[in-house]
Amino acid sequence: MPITALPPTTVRAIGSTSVIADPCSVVKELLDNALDASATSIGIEISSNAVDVIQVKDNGHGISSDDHALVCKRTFTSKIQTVEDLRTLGGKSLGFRGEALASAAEVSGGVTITTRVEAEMVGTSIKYGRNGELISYRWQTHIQLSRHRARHFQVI
Amino acid sequence: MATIKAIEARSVHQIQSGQVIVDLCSVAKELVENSLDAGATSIEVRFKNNGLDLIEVQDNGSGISPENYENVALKHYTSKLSSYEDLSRLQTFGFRGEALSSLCALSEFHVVTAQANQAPKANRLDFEHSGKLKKTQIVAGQKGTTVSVEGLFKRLPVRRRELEKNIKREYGKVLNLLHAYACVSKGVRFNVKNTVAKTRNVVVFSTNGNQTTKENIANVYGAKTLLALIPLDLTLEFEPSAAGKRAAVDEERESNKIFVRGHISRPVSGEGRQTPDRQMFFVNSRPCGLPQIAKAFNEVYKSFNVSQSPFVFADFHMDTNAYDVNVSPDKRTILLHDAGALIESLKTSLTQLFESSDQTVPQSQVNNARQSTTKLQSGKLQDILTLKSSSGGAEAAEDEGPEVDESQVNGRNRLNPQHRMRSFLSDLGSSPGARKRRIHTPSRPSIFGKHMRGFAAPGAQVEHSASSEAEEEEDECEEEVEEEEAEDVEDEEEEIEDEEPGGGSRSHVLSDQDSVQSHDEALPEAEVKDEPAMSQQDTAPVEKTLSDEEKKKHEEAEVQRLIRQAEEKAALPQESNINRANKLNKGAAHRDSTVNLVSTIDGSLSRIQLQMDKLQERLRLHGSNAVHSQDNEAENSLETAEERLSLTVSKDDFGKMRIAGQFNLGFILATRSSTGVSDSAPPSSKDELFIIDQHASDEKFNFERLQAETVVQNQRLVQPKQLDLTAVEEEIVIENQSALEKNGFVVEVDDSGNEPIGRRCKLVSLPLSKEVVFGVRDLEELIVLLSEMPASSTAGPMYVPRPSKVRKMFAMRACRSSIMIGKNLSQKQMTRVVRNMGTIDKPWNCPHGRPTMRHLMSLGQWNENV
Repeated sequence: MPITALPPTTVRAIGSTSVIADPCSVVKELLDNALDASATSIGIEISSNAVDVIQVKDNGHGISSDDHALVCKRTFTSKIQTVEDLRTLGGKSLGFRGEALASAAEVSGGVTITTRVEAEMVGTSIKYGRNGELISYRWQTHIQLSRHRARHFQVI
Repeated sequence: MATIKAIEARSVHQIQSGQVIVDLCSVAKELVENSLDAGATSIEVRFKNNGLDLIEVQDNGSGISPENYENVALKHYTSKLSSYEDLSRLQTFGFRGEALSSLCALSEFHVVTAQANQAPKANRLDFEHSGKLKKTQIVAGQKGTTVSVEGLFKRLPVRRRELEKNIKREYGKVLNLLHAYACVSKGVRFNVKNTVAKTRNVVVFSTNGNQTTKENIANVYGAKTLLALIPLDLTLEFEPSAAGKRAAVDEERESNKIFVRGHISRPVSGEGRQTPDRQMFFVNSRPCGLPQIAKAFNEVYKSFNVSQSPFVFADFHMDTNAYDVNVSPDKRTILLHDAGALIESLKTSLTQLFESSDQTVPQSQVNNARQSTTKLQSGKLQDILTLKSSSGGAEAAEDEGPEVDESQVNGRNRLNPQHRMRSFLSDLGSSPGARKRRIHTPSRPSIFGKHMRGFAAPGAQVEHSASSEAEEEEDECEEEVEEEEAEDVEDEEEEIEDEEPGGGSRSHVLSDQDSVQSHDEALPEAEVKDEPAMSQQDTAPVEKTLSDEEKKKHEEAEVQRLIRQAEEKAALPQESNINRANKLNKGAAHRDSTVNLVSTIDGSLSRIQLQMDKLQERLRLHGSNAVHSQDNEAENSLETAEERLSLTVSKDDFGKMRIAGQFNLGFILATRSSTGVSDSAPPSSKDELFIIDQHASDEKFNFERLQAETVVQNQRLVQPKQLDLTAVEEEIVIENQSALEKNGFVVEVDDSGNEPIGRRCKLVSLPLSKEVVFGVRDLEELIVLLSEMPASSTAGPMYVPRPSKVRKMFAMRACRSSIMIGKNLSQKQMTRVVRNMGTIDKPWNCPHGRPTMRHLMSLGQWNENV
């Protein structure tokens, strides 16, 4: 059998399932994100079978509108720029690989993020598709907390 | 707040590589897996300086074809998978296409490879850190691939320093991992070498490309390890859960059957290991860590052998749909879709396995010292032989083979007939004594055991008959020569004919041997003539020589015919047959037994006649038995030598034991009568005498009864105690209220919803015992025990976990209420104690771990020593 490149979808699927192996890792990654966003209040809601809906709300700094398109892209992160940063990272942020949200989107088929930064008057609710692309975008009023909402369907 | 940006590609590569190759283990693992995936039959792993300087893996696999050179080390390029869906049908170890590219990023990496048509020309490929091919170069090399990893982690200074610091430990881990691969890979020769200083090159371990995992284990861990192992061969069946069903929706229903193959320590005190360090688990031959399953193994094993951990080698064969390997980067974590059901069913089958193979009590051998004065006693022979055969080892007789054969030949060359006989017998008597003998029940289901016994016993008797026959011969040799000869020949014929229906290879070997033996036996005088050198030793009566001359001719013709007959049968094309014959011959080559003893043997015609009758009777029995035991033969031959020499005790035996009396006011002596097929043998000769600790066995009985039945008394608290539990603990409490109540904890749950989760439970009463004080801590312990207990078994049998304090209390109570040492027991009381042992779960050890029972001796030996 010749050695050939795996199609990108396969690469994504294989990579994602090892980052997000179970509902527990979804919660962990979202929690890490919330803590990295210096939240002081975090709420977690999980549907009773632990896979339908996993929702984490925090009151951290939110995601600025410039970044909205990049949130769920693989290896896109605000936490490091090069591998050398890892050495200086110390304990400053929990995440650094830029894989969690992308993987969560891949294994669940879509992620919804509702967020507002302090400077904005209204929040936005953004839907991301399986491959991490922004699908839809709408204004959302009356939110205090930035909210990550993963609809998580076990693919295996 | 930083903005979200892409990490630069080079950094991504390095970060991800660091995830794939975490330590020395991952390097060795990836490379060895590649070799195995390439169909290699010989793999050599070379370390330099424990792997710090160089790790090199050489195989004789398929090699890499030239058009793939460019792609070998590129990320996500692989030959093992083409789409995500293939994952569920994955047959190879690797699949992500990440290992080699990661190694490029983290070390100096090069490959030398040649396909079959290229050898002896090979190509050396060097790569850039990105995984791009830098250059190719033609070098000399054999078919296969050699991958070298030099200076691992040179580009990640922190990890490199960490590795250098812990290299000894890392190296140990790598070896353990390689052990696992070496053990599970059938037909692959592993060779692991380490060069520490410049010149010293040490072979760490190697296997020989064996066809069985058993031999692999012997190669890796030493043959001694095998002695303590029993084969593990379980079939687990269970209803697949929803997830499993969905995964297997288009497959046939086979997917919920799981086969477990491997080896595990005997569940007997002293046969396990002190630490759980040698436990290997595989899923379809992929080494992996299965913590829950490992726990199940240890738990079940501990319930049979309290103080030790087992050696486990377990390979789970299951449908590729039934699990997911793509969980962690190192692929050692495997998600089993039906883990819960699997573990339950595994525990049940393991318990069954252990129960049936339980009880290997060291068998005592009392008569070693008295051997030299042993009287000729056929009972003894019989005893030894049947003892072995009753253990279920079909090849018991074969084991005796070399000795019998050899000593007889020896004897007849050097000594006069009596001496011969004597040395033969003492040899028979002494050699088993030198071995470790044990008592244990057949590791197969009991029906099979019976079959085997049916098969084995006659085999043993054939041997026996051979010897008694020889005995007859001796007797007559001095008196009625003519008659001896006729009888002998007739005898042989009888035997061979009777064995024919058996058709088994083993009996053929035996009969062959027997006739050879008798050939030798029948020609004593002939040989005196042929070998004058022997004649000064041989004191055979000279006056018979003349008639012997005539006799010889006749005899030889007859014997030749018999041998031919036997050989024809033995020459059936059965490999095992030949192997065994070889083994026998080898065994005979190097053992010498020339015991220079003189004694007389009393024998009369009537006695001989009697024995003849018995023999024929038994042979007839053999004939009929052999027919239906034929099928089992293949499996029989798998029995280990150790099992052949073992004695079995099952729980049913307690019901049949005959109480002999009390000893020293502390022990019950009981005999178990033989259950062998040969009812014609004197019944007492095969009885086994056991000594049973009256206190320990009664204590165990009481203890198990208390464990299962007792509802611990409780006392209500004046004021209910508010419990602060986590949400999970609370769930457990609510689900297991009955189990808690059995232990004396009564908990009231507030369902009104007024209290927040975690504060809904109130402890209403605590267990009560005379002097033991219970508290919330004991409840916490019990909750942990309950949480470890898998959910499905709560509905099952009445097993209730007990906190350690309650257990201790029970042990104490059982101890106090049991029969004490020093108490006179009536026959009735003793019978009750022994019968009770048959009814309890694990009668072999008392709650503190002391054995309840020991084997004293076989009564056959007793007769002999009087």
